[in-house]
Amino acid sequence: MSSAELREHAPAAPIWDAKTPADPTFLKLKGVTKSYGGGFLAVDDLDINLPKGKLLGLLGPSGCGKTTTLRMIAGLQDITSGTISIEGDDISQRPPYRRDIGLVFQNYALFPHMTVAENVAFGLDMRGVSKSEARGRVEEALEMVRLPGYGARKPKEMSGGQQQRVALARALVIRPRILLLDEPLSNLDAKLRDDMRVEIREIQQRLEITTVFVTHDQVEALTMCDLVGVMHGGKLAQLGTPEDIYERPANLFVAEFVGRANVLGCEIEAVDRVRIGSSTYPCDTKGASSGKATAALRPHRIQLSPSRDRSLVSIATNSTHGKVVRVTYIGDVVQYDIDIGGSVLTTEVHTSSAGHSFRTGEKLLCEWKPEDMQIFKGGR
Amino acid sequence: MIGRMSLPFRMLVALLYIFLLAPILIVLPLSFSNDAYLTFPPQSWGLRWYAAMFRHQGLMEALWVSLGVAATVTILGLAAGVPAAFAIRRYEFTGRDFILNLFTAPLLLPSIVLGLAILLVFVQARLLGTYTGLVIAHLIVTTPYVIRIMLTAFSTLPPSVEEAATMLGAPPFTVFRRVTLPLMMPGFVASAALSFLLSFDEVVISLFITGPRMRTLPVEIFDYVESQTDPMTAAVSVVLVVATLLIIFLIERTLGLSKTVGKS
Repeated sequence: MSSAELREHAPAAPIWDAKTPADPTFLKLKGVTKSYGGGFLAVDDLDINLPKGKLLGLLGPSGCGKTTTLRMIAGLQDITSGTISIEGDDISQRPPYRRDIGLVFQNYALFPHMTVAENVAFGLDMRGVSKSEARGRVEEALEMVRLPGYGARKPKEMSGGQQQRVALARALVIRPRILLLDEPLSNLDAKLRDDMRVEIREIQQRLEITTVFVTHDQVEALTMCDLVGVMHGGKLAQLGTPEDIYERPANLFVAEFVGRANVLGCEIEAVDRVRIGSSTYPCDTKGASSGKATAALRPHRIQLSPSRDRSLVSIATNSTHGKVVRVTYIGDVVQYDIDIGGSVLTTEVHTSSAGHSFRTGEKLLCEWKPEDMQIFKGGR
Repeated sequence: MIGRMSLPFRMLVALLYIFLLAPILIVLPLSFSNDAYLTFPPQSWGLRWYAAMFRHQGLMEALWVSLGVAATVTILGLAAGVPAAFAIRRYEFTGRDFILNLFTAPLLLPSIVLGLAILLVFVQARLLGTYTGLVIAHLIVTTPYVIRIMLTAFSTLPPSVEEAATMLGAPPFTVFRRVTLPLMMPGFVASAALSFLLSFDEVVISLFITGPRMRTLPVEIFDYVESQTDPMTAAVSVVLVVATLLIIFLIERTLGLSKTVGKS
């Protein structure tokens, strides 16, 4: 049967059917630890529960342990202690080739001596799937990644984005229990990255395949994932929905790593206000009533207006006067750096065709809502 | 060379080629001489010495010894050198650099030194003039080349390609057979060919350890030239040159083919 015929006969046949209700702990990592000689803990007592069909993004700077975590789930690295289980089935000690896990590598890792079809069929061959069934499933998988009819090509005859899609088809055609993606987009150029982001998410949701995605790019983590685990120093700094992570960062590391934030040293005066410099600002200190703290404030959550009398300003907002010290035109936004007496606030304003409104040296009033200022215990 | 070669440079290259090929240019006509003695240019022409060569018992026996030794050395050298290179490239272990240097040290030693050392050891071990002795001595020469070539070959194979096969359900040996081995093919062919030719060609060390009952072809030719001065050695040389060229040509073809599929 030719590939064209196959396409006609099975236009949108799902290669997946997983309409089972979400299991809250489909993938479970319990106390997972990786230590190297000399007591260095690459991953330190990690607990993660991932429901079925969800996409978890592990986000963090290099060396935070996210890739090590992924490789331990895959079985390519031993775990020092703890357990990893899928649907209650402990796979911690199982060799990687018997885990039924799909893995897409950053550098695609296609077999250069095989055609695209042979690459995709490799996992089926390992599972003893008959040649004729394999041919159909390979073509289905290639269609799913929008590369129908590319089977006869060699990987090196394809672009980076196409190779990445072949790698995805190769990982998915074996119907793995979970899918792991190791920085799959970082070798692609910006435009292609945006397209692939949407495409991978779309396929993941259609197949409802439980997926762990490692990235250092916060945009990828926030836009693609159901859950984001921010990792820092081998530990989970925060695990939550993208909105949780961005709006309610659990600690200063998350606040600074995800999105941008002005970070200001402050003194807690009471549970509902802090002092920065000589001014006092209402805010939620999360129960703390004294001591040194750090305030984080997103640049675009600060409203700017020409300077006026502070007594006219709503008491529902925080405000301060400042002087523009730098104007940076970025395209979508203009960034104003504003000296508020001792420290500099970075602010962002969306641009419009009318041009940008403020100039260097201009005196402005900066206002923000108390809930937009996050307070973290401890100084910097 | 990047760009086009200038005229003086091309003349230099041509001169070098003439210098390198001059012996062959003289040997080739000599081999078709029908004279009883080496004279250039030959007085009469024919295939007399080619026929004589194939009837010469000593030469033919030595040829078979050389072919057998070279084949054995090639197989054993690959069997030892490939895993050694793999371990050195893929695993971290104490003494790795030391082992690498130890394995490749014979590349730096003059053959005459190696030959003398081997002679001294082989006298004790009663390996002089034996097939086993020849194989061991040649392995000392060829294995470092195998290790060197395979180190390079392994370093061009990203580990993630093998890991990808593992994740798709291939146990370690299947990964080796289906992925590592095919991608290493150019390296294997190059190491095998080089081992074979090095062993087949080896004179210095062989001179130390061959005896009256066990001679390799180069040693036999060497002895023959010392005692006789007829054009048969020219005929032997031409046959060897043609055979070597044939091997190189075959490798070039297979390597060329492998390269087109072996690079990502």
